[in-house]
Amino acid sequence: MKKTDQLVFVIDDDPSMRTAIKELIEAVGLSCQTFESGQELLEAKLPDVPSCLVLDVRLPGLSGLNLQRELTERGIHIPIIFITGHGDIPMSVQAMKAGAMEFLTKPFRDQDLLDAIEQATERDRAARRQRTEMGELVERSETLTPREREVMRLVVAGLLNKQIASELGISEKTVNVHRSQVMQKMRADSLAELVRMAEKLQLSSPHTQSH
Amino acid sequence: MSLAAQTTPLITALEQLGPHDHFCSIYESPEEHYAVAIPFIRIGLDRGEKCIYIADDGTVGDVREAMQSEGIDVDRATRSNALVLATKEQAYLEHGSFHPDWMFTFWQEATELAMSEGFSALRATGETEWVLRGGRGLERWMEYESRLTHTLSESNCSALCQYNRRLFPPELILDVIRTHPMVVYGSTVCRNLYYVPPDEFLGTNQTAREVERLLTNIRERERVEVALREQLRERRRAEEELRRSEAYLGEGQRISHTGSWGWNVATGEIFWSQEHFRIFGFDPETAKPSYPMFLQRIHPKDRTFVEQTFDRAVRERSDLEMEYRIVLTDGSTKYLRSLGHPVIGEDGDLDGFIGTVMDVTERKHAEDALHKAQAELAHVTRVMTMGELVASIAHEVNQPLGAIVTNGHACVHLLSRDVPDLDKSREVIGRMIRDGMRASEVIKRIRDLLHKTDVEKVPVNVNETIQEVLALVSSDVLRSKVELQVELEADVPPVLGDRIQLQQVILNLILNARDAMSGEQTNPREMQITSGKNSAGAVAVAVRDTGHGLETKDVERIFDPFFTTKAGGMGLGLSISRTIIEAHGGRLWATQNEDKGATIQFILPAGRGSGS
Repeated sequence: MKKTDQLVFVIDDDPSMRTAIKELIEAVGLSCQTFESGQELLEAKLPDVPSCLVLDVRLPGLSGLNLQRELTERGIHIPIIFITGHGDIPMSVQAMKAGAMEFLTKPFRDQDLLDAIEQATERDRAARRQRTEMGELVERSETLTPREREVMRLVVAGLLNKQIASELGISEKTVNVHRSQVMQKMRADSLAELVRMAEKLQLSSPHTQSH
Repeated sequence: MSLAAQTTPLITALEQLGPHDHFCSIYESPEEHYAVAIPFIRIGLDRGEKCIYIADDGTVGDVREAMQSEGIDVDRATRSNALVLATKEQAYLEHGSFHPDWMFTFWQEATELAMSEGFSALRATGETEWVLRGGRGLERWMEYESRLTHTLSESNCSALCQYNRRLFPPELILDVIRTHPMVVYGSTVCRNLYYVPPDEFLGTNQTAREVERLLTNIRERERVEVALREQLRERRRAEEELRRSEAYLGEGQRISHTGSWGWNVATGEIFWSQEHFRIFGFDPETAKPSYPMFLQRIHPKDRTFVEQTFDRAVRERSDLEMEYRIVLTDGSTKYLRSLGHPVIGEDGDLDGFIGTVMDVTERKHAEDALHKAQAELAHVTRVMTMGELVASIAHEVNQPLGAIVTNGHACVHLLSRDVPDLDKSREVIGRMIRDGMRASEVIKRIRDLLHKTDVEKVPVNVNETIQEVLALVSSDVLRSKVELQVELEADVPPVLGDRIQLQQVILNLILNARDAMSGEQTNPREMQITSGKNSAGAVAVAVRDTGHGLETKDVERIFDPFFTTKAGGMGLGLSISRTIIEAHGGRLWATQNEDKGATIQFILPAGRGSGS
């Protein structure tokens, strides 16, 4: 009955609080892994599943905010729900700016934490999915020849084949061959889809730049 | 054995007389009569001389009574032959008539008998009124008196002849004076200027020689009187000096509330100065000091201690020093401090003690007031310190409360399942109870620190005290990015102290170390708290920091009230801490570390100690 396809990490130096949060999370059927300090989390091998981190702001050694910065620098993308002993507004603003999902003051309502966990986990799931899609797109784009890449950039910029031919100094027929090659390699069904892919890959048109 | 024998100048003079002396007592009243005759006998008995008292008709009973009231055990003395109470018939008129030669034989035999009985000498005295009533041979009475001087000078015997001046005619008294080398008159023993040696008194050319002697005596008398006047002046001056010095002493004793005392260990006799009487609330005119009287004034709770102190001083022949309380008849209590010094006699025996007693009640009250004021100041600064720690304390209470709420939520979920998880719920509720206890424990500690209680000295384990304080401030210290190292020696002996005040000291030292590291610094912030036992067995606690350290000039100044190097500080924490530690018989000081920062430490005497 436990959902094992997702995981909540909890860091609190106070053993009572740490255990209590774990109990709550497990009581609603979620899996939970606890740590005493940020250092311990950084040294652990984290399972590659959608997850979120419940983090006490005030920790001995590496503080909650410093851990948040450290994770970002290491390219570890995990949504963070901060908890704190007392509402410290400047600290919460700082945390939210750095991308925290939620900032809860102890003692908090269970639903607030559970909602935050659910939202954060969903966001991680989506981010993971997005990161997967992106990876595929990059892979496909890397099969393109430099000329095909040129053609794709001009196509998504909205130029007609004739215009592209004149721009590149090649025949319109050749443009057409490149274009169909691009659509095939990128597995785009329509021009609109190719445009979206280009946006994601952040391919920009020299025309746009020249404006 | 004479008891309570009073020493008067007369007695002292009589004590100078002994074998070979022939003297008369000229009295005017029965009191004067016995005042000389009875001590004369007593002194003889005391010295182991045989004493003969020759009484007039019908006076034996009076004499016996007078002797007994002087403290002479007449029955015992007569049984042992030391005292013979005789009538005139048994002595002077043994043969029916009076004859000087018979009497000299009588005295010679009586003296020899006394010596053979083991007495050191013979001592005789006789009443003489019967002589006036006449009898055969009594016309030779004055011849007898005159010759007796010579006889006695050659025998181991002394004689006192008693004459009633109111009954004897002046011309007879004149002869009495002429025939006795010494005269007791008006409670004075005088060397007789008018004494006439027997050969002259009884000789033919009496008048011419008497003129010569009188002239010599007159000249002599003038010389003696000048000497006497000088002596008198000298004595008055000495007395004046003594009076003045006594007055100074008395005044000094009054001003300093110090009395003096003396105690004769053998006789139990006690001497008190006027101020001593006054301190103890007794009237020096009527009260006679005694040990029971002294003890009766001592506070019941101090009585045993005082007796033990005296006993020990006597046993060890040592100086004594103690403080005790006395309760006066009006119920008021005085605090006294007494010092005593043993007096060792020439024979090496302990004669007694002399000492002082000082009324220190006012000092004691001032001390009590000071302690009270210090306790109140300690309380006020404690409350202020707690104010600074509100955030930290709130965290310490909020932490278990947060855990309780979260556990409660977990329980609700566990119990709301289709099949409620009762085992897990029980486990979670157990934790909730534990966290609730923890929160209430923190609150109790805060309340203790805020609560104004009387200083109460009980055995305290400093390690526990350190842990209790850390429970309140460790999160505060951590928030200050300070790394805390606590190294407590396991077998630290307990100290006698006030738990709350000692908590306050440790709290102050920790906050002081925290503040010392609150500024910018490149080296790591480390606080080390240690406890242990020093080489002298005292309990030592030290708090070491790696902060900005102390400047040499500040090492002592930091303990001055209102001295502070902090922006928000009152400058009372360390000053109060030192006061508290010193009130516990300990010491608190600061030192600069060799590498970085400072160490403040204190030591407290271990164990129950002497206390108070």
